Amino acid sequence: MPREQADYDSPWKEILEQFFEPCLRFFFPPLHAQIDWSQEVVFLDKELQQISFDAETGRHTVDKLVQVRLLGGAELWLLIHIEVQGQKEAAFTTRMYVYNYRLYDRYQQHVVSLAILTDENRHWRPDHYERELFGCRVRLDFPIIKLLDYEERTGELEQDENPFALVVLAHLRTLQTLGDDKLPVRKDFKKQLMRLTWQRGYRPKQTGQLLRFLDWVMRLSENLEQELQQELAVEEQQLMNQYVTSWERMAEEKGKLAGQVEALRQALQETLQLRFPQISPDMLETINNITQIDRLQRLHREAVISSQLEAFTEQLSLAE
Amino acid sequence: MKQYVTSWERMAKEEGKLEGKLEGQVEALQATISEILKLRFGKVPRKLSASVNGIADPEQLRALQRQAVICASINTFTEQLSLAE
Repeated sequence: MPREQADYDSPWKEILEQFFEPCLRFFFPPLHAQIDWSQEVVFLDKELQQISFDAETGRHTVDKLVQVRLLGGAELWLLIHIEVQGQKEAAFTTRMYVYNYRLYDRYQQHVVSLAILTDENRHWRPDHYERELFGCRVRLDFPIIKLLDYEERTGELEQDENPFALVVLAHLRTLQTLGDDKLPVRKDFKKQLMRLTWQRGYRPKQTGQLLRFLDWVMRLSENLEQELQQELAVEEQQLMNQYVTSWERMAEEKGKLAGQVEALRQALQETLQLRFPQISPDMLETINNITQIDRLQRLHREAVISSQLEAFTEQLSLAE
Repeated sequence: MKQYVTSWERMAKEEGKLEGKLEGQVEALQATISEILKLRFGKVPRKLSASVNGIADPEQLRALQRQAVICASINTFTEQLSLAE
């Protein structure tokens, strides 16, 4: 398995949510035509989490449970699974079945399960689950999309106005250039795809999301990345810098939260040690598990005003 | 072993995270110092909060946070602050 693979799931997760409608239009046109796109599309992350077991197995997966409305007004749940790792067939089909069954069991929903297979093995095409015992049979068939099948149609993809065609193209070009010796070729593909994205004239937000995806997936070595940046025209570099700035801001928000939590934990521990030198290291340690800012602020206030350590300890256990 | 380390996205993420973290630390410490003083001594002179909020070095702010906890009065804290400035 290529070592880049671990990085694939987050970009796919992001792009699937951002380009959900184009994704269905691209892969499942008959289904797409039945959906009322003027209605809200809801991502049921919490409901999906309720029935997930990947936390236990530690597998990286990309699943999206989505609620849409059909043209007649009926509600439809879709479970889109993007298979990034290419696992054993039995494990994969079982998982498809179990998720479909669990969603039915828990929410009484007939969920449409769809799978997108992104792996490099042309022959790996699991599309159903089946088991049978003494004439008692259970079977689930599900539509699959094999990204490799689009390889012969790259010319078509380059012309397709659907933004998801570029997503697929970015993935195919990445698969075609696995291995260090092929990275210079990947650099050229990446440049071509960046330009294709700009030429489409999508809204700036969409353009940024697509660029982020292909930049994320089409990793290069440091030297090649620099080469690529230098090969871009000045206007292109400026455009790219604008996007980079917006990504930086997104990361800054996350970093800020982490910084606040860290500083508040430290401040709380300092205050406690100064006011109550007898405090046990264990208690100080438990503070490192607190992640909510408002709770840390509340506890710190308590640490400043409590006259006895016991009063603080009480608050600490209460809030838990 | 070569690594696929770079991309605009990755660089932006790393740089942004670091900057954001510093910003978050500084903001949280400034707010905490004013909060401690308020809890301990009631009112805090506006000029004092303003000078605390003017400090952007996390180390210095951490030292001031300790001072805020142990100082005997607003005046002793203000002295420490002017020493630090």
